[in-house]
Amino acid sequence: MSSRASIRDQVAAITRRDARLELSYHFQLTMRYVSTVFVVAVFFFIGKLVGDAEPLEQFQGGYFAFALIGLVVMGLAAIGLREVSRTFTGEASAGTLEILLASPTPLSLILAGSLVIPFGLGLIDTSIYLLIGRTLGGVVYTLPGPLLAAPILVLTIGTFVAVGILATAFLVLTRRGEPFTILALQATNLLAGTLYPVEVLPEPLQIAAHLVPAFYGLRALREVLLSGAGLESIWDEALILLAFNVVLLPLSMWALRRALRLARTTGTLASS
Amino acid sequence: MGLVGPNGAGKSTLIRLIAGLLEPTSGRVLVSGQPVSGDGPTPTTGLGLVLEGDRGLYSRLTGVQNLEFFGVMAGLNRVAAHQRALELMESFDLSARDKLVFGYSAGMRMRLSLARALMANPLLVLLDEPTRSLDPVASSQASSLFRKLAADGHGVIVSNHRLDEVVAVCDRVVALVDGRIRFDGAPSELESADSGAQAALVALLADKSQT
Repeated sequence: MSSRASIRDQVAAITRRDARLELSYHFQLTMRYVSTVFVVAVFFFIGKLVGDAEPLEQFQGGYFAFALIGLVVMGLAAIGLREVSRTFTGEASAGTLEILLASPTPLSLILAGSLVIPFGLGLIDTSIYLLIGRTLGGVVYTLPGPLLAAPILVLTIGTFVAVGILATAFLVLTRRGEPFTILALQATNLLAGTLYPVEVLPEPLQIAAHLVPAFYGLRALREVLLSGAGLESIWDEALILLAFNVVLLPLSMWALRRALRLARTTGTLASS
Repeated sequence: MGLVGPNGAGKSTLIRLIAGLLEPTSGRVLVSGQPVSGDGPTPTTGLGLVLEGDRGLYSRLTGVQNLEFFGVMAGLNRVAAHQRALELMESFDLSARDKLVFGYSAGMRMRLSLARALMANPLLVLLDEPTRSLDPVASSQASSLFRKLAADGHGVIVSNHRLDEVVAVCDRVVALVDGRIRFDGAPSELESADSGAQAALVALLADKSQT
């Protein structure tokens, strides 16, 4: 048997490392899920106030179920946007970034591996949201809804990861990546229909919403999970999300590699 | 080989250039005859690296967990990395396998960093000021380890701003001042009275260190 590491070995090693580091902060981990329940409770009571407002009639579960889908997407979006740059800054402050970059493990693998545990924890958040949606909101997620939702969620998250990688390229060059991620997160919150239907926006903003990838993801997820729609109803959204991924992910990796090469020339790599 | 020079001489820069972490503005770096490129670490596969003294470890993991992780990143599979980690913990006198690294002394962290650099049994080991945070006893122990690495067949390049430590441990000394090589030879050449190089170099280093 070869003693050389496979890609699976390397991703598994990064995942084990991150799991051990996360578990070493078990109080923080516990508080994370307590706060998740609190957030859901806030929207449950807002849902009681709003009820089944007119633009929400097509969805089961009223405003509460509608908002839960938005919370799921925004929670995972925040992970996608922030985690790559967090990995960079965390490794740089531990002094491990240069050791990893000088190792034969490809950068793309290091970044992909570093996303496994954050998204794993995010999926636990998602399960809590959906479980509470079923229990308190009375939302019944019938097949094939969840099966169709999974790839849509992956494609939606992919666009946020791409923006997160672009933000990391910005971070490597300027040592500040936050403006990029904050802008992307807030623009998504405003335009994509996270916590309200885009129909309530003025027309110019409704048009601008079409430029935000999460708009398509949220629309498709609500269709399949809350309206019982099938694949034929979300085909367009899925293709548009796929196109965003095909363009943004390679572009963002190219930008990050360029930024790293520039940082190698200017000597700012260690201080990313 | 010891790289010696005052602060700002370019020792760390040279180490990072060899490791592929910096791109040269002119010229090129060859490791084992292969050019080092900024795009990928392939030529550095055979490199072990210790930067910034004893940093570069996850303090909330144990020593073995750190070594296993970096071993897999260096290309070993999990089983081989675990086996190699245990061997190195033993040979570097790091018996506290289950102790988290944040409980390690500076000397233990230094030894663990060295062990990390050796996980994939590299041909060349680059050590940037490895004894910076060590007391004289730990520093002397570390110097013995550097000799042992060289005796085991590893090429070792160690940077230090202290000439006496470099002379005591290295077969070849390269003195850098303002990014330029001012001396390249055996410690014995440096010490020979008639060459006059030592006196000049010591004076130069002392002068630069004060500025």
